[in-house]
Amino acid sequence: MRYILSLIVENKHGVLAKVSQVITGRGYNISTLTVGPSEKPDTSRMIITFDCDDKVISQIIKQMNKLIDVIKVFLIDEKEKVERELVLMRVHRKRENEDSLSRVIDIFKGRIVNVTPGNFVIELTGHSGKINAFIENIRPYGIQDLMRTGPLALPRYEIK
Amino acid sequence: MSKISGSQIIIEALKCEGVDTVFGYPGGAVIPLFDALYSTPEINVVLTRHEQGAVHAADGYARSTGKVGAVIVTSGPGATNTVTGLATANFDSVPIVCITGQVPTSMIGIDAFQEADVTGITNAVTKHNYLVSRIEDLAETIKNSFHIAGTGRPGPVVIDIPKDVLLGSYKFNYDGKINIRGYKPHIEGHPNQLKKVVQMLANAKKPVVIVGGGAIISDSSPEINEFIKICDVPVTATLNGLGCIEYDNPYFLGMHGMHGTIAANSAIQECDLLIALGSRFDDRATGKLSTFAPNAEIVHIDIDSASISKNVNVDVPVVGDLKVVMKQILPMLSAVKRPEWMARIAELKKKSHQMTRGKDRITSIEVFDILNKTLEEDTIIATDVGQHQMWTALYYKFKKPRTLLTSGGLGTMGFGFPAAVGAQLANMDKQVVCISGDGSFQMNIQELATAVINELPIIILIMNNGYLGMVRQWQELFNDERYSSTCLMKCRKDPSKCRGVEEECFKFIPDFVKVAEAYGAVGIRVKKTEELESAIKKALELKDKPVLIDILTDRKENVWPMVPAGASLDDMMKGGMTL
Repeated sequence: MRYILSLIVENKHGVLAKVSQVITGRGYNISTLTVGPSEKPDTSRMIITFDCDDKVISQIIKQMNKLIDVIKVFLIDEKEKVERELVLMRVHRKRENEDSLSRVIDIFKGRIVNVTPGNFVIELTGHSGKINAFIENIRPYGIQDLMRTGPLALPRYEIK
Repeated sequence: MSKISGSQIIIEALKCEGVDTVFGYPGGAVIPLFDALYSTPEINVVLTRHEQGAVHAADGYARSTGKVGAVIVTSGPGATNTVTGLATANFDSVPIVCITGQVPTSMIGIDAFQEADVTGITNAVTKHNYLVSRIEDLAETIKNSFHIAGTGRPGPVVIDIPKDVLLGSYKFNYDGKINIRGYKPHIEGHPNQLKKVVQMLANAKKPVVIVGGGAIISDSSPEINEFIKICDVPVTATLNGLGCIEYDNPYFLGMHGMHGTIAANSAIQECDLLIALGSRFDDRATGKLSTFAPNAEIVHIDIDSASISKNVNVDVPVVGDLKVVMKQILPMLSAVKRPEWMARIAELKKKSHQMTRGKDRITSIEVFDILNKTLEEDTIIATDVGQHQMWTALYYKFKKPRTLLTSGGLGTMGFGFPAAVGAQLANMDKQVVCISGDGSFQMNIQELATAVINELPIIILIMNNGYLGMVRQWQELFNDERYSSTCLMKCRKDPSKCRGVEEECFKFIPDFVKVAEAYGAVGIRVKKTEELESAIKKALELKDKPVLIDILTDRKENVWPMVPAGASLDDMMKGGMTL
């Protein structure tokens, strides 16, 4: 199943390499990884998702805790979280199906953020499941390029 | 406060940490640092003949004393040569601080001469590493490194220092408090977990204790000995746990695992409660996991929570420093007697190994009979890796903690001799003996120079069978006797036509006695058992140079018992053992 792991790490040179080294070196696969600044300037927050069993995730948590530059590690509870992912897609623009494409984008509350005579760039924000569904609905229109951020996630309550 | 150079900051920091010996090798990037060491009489700089030797020597120094070993090498190849040494120390939880030179910060990333991405390369083989790019951070980084290396589950820390940082100047301040927010080792065991352990011990009919390397590292041998006596419980050791319990202690079963004793492996398979103290359930120790200790509830006390339930599912985990946890639990115990179980243990111990004696050549048991008779109990034994290592574990009667230095986890051939050099420098009052094989010894043979120059009276015993013996044993047992690339005496010819040692084969390659003499050490060749004792006695008398004893042993002796890789501890092959 999918696990969302949240790490607070030192905002220092080489920390991402250390985190990914431990995960890959022990044979675990990262599904997505997102890194960015946190509320404090000297720490960063990483959200890493894994598709694995509970034994593997508990070993990953322990290994992450062993890293000196990792300050805090916790699993994000699927039921008590806010999750957002962003997708950008550039799709073919064809006169005959522009209307239906616009309707699909509206239904998902996506946006067209760039237009050229040959294509649209579309963005959508939502939880990963919604992004998956959106992509499947856009695919028939011809996706030229697609980029997802991987999910960001925060617990709904403060984790002590 | 006046400013001093980066190199001088390092020297002052090393002095504050109580470092008296540094193992190293100079090079372009660390010339300023070696220059500062040149006028530092408080620190003995030991020039090894290879950077790998330097790290193993610091490892031997650390394992034999419990102090943090210190290494200084140059950038690029100097740093990459440390990787095997660091991985060895990391696997066996040995505290080392390794300072590597680096090209100047302005040249990092341009493929400069002798540049290597040292933090990138050493991520997987260290507990932690640093690249110090600002001299302002230098003193604090060294302080943190010694703290990280020596506390919690110990391990090696690399500090990569660019040359311009060595040459810069800044004030030296070492008074700051250590506060690493991502590093707070658990020291005390949780009281509720300990209550459970006490209850389980009270209920158990057939408990067994495993002591691992953590028992040695945490210096908890006295507490563990008290524990087993109060609880009347037999105890087995992992390879790196040997020495925690005296060999002749009636509770001691010997080592368990692939080459474990019949008593130890059988007791584990029969027990109803298994208490692991600072061991990490390595596959060589457990055999097939699904049949390991099938009837037992498992308690695991370890400082590293990641070692718990990694391989074996643990019923009651206790995370903490073993010595502290033992001190917590001892007052909670009430003395019990388990006469039936101890009677069964005594029965199992009778099935101990009696090896057949050799006819023409010397066999392992004869070597260790003599060693057990002639060596003092505080003798430090360093081994390499292979058959001689397992024979040492099985037959040598260890009596004290920190008397065995061996690469248990990584299994590094070439570890033993440089480790013996480091241990001897730290323990000039004790005898150090390196037990090696003709394969392993050649992997760091150049350190003979280090031993001779430093007048170290190390005794080197080479159990010379002309083979990479352990691999040869596997080939004999599991590969239809196809001795691919394991004979070290073979001449150039088609291996399939080899009929054993022939006229054209090399007699000695190399002639270890001549090698020893070439380095200025003493070399003695022993062909018969009766020559061995006098050779060792002669070696023990020499106090200012190493003595290499080349023992021509039985070429095809195997290590018994043996549990094949991946098999259950129940399936012990007993080979040439007479029961």
